[in-house]
Amino acid sequence: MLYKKYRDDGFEILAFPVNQFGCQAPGTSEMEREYAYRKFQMDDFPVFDKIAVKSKPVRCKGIDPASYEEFKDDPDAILTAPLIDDVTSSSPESPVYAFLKQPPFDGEIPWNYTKFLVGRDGKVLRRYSPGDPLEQGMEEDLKRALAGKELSAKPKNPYL
Amino acid sequence: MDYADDNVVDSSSLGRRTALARVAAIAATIGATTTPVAHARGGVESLYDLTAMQYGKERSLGDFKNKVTVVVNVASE
Repeated sequence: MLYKKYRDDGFEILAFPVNQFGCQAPGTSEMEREYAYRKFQMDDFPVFDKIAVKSKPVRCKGIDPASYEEFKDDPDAILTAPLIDDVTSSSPESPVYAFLKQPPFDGEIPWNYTKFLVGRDGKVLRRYSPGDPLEQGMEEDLKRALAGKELSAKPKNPYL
Repeated sequence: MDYADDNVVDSSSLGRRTALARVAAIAATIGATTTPVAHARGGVESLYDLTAMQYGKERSLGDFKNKVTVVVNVASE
């Protein structure tokens, strides 16, 4: 796991739940955060509140945040809790993603688990497609970024 | 910068070019104070100059300055 291996060197994962790809994040921000903790098998990295990352709005349903307390422990909440139009899916693109998606890393986010590597100076170094980041050379990129070295000129796979 | 003196200056005592330049300078000053700073694309130099909501509150990504980060969009299904 890259996070455990490199966090002491100054590596951090910033996760943003997004309900714009197949409406696959219908939970509240709290529910999506808990899910991310389980999926990554750790709970000591920041998971922010739900945002929009696409430049065009998407219509998805989501669990009403007002129902969170009632349904937070229900694994079937998505089937039983009342759903409302999810404003996070129809919102304007988050400024974070407007920044990340600048050339040469532009192009619409295609699906969940698209990743951006950002250097210590806050500039984007590499973008990865939703597939396995290790197959896309992320570990080597990460090591170089942590050491303050330039990344190799070409990614192993183009991200698109 | 204080343009109070410029506002009462008699333009006949100035070259036309100078007067126009002063008007442009004043307009630029007004523009700079009324235009929103956050052009997400144009103006931002660093991810760590931005903020994001967490637990319903705004959090500065400056908390991660000097770190190497991976930003990832996640979902639950």
